[in-house]
Amino acid sequence: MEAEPRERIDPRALKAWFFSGLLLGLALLLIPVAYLILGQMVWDWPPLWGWLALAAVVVYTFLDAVVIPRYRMRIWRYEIREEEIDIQRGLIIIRRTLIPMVRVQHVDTEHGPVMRYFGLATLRISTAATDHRIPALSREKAAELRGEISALARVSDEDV
Amino acid sequence: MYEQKRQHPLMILVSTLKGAANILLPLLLVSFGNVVGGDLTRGLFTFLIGAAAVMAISAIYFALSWAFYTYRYEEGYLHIKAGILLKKERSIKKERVQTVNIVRGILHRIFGLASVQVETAGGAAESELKLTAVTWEEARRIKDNLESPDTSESRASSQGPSDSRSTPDPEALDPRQSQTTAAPGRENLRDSQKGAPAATATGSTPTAATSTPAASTPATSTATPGAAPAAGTSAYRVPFSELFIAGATSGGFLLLFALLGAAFSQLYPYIPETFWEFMLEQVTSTALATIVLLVFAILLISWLISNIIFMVQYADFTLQRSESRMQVTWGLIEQKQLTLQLYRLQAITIVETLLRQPFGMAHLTAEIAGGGSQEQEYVTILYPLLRRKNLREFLGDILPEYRLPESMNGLPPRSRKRYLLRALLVTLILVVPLQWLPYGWLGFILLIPAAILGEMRYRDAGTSLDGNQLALRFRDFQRSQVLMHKNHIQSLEISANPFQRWSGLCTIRASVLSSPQGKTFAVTDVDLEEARRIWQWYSRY
Repeated sequence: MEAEPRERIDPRALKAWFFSGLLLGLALLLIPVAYLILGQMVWDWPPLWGWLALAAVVVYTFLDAVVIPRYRMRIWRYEIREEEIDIQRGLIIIRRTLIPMVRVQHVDTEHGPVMRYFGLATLRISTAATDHRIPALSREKAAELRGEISALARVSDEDV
Repeated sequence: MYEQKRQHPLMILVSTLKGAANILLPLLLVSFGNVVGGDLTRGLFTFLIGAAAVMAISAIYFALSWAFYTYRYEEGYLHIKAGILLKKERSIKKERVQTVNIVRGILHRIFGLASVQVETAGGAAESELKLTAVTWEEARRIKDNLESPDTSESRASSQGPSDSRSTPDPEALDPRQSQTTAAPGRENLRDSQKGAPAATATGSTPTAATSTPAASTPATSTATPGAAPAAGTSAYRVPFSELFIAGATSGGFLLLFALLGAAFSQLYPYIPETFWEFMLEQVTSTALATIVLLVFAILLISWLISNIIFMVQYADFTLQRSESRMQVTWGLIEQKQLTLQLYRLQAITIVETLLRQPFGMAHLTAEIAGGGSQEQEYVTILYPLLRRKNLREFLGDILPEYRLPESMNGLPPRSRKRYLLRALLVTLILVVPLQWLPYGWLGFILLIPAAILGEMRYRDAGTSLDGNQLALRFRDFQRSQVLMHKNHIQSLEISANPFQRWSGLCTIRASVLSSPQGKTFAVTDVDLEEARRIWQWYSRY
């Protein structure tokens, strides 16, 4: 508890988050752009709202793709010890979670197209009651940890 | 044996046909609409085109799913890779597998296939794994592979691969024949009864049987610790008078009141005018008095009804404890009986509702693990009414595994203003919009009970550690005190927002397994030092 967990997530996560944030921003941009174009050409809508929405999308995208990932990155930590997994995450509210190995039910890795492009994967750890994830590990690291955790997640005798 | 395998290619066909069955009905309706509209050819045309399109799309989708879904088993593990765009990989360890079900629908039988469902204890989403179609032999092989060699007697069933396509078998007439065997992965829930036969581990113990009360009556005198008919059994029974108090304070009448009130407001226009005139003359001349009277009458009626319902429902409530299980029986008209294996008990909560707390009374609820879909009844109420002062004795008799903490570590004084502020802010958010209404300012009166509630919440919140037991106490409206063992806590979380960090406070959350999904209990604004102590206690380092 005194010390933060040791490991950080892969720095490539910044790029991946920037990229997916950007993609989302571009998709969102379609709404005000459509409003402006159609509003001008077909109907006679006031363009002010369109510009405001456009500005909102730009600001949101900047936060989502550039600012927030940096903070998230700084706070995300994890440590996998022989008998427990220690995860710290958060942005404004910082959460620290402790999962004993004997409680781990299964471990998954998953990655979408963007994550795959950057060679990253998310590790998902499920206990019988809760679900936890470590995002943006390198693919090799994620696979390695998956093996390691499932090997460590043995059923111990202390269980009742 | 360890190569990466795919499911049987016929999985595409099976899934497509299954999916199509769901689509066809609405499609048929649409086409039928056209036919009724007088356009027969158009109806037929829509139907055929629609059906073809749906089939083609789902066939492509399932073909891709099939191609990307591979699995592999090696000693003790099952590995899966899946996902068309979002790739997933999962490894399941044999010890974690609870049950392996082989289910065969009609389509499966036609093609000699089977679907395999591997279930783990996970309460979280997507906890299970499903192979939609593999050959019968492969299904058997997976099942055997995920079961320990020492439980292999369970595979000695007559279901050889040869009879998979045979129809004279009477069971075969059942379109959804399924097989369930417990794998040894239940150790995380069960006592270390390693030698126990697999059959007892299927976890379907609680049966809401309409059995005769004979089984439970021998020990049902009021609170007779040690008066045990069977070895090591003690029993508690709720006496009639207590049951009355429990019913009177159950709060169920408020719900009933709302229902009756709503029903009455619907009926109101149909009550003849003359009736009201008569009532008014009889009682008083002001309309207000009538309304007050009516409300009280409805309140009284609903209170009586809900009391009777409660008393009938929980009549003869008896809790019996023996070595490894508890047995609950209750009910007057329908006698219900529930047997609860102790290893499934994950946490108990002492609940004091606002109505009961002034009388020093509480009830006990339980979090219980496992239980498949066939167990519709999750026991939550472990005991419907207890006097606070008898609680310690009760727990000592019935559940010596749990101890009522001597004292709780309360919150530091600096938490108080956060509790008060939170309660007031929530109320303000509700009250401020009222200002647009006439007499809206009256809403500000609500701030007083809100502040009192905030103060109560602050005073009641607390934590305690005692050996392997963590106790959390908190209040929303009712006060709850949760007792849980270290080995039942699935994960522990400590969180803090910037304000909490500033004051050296945090929120502590403990999750336990429960049915149908996990449950998390939290205490807000705990002293960071206390949270550290709990963290250290939970950590293995």
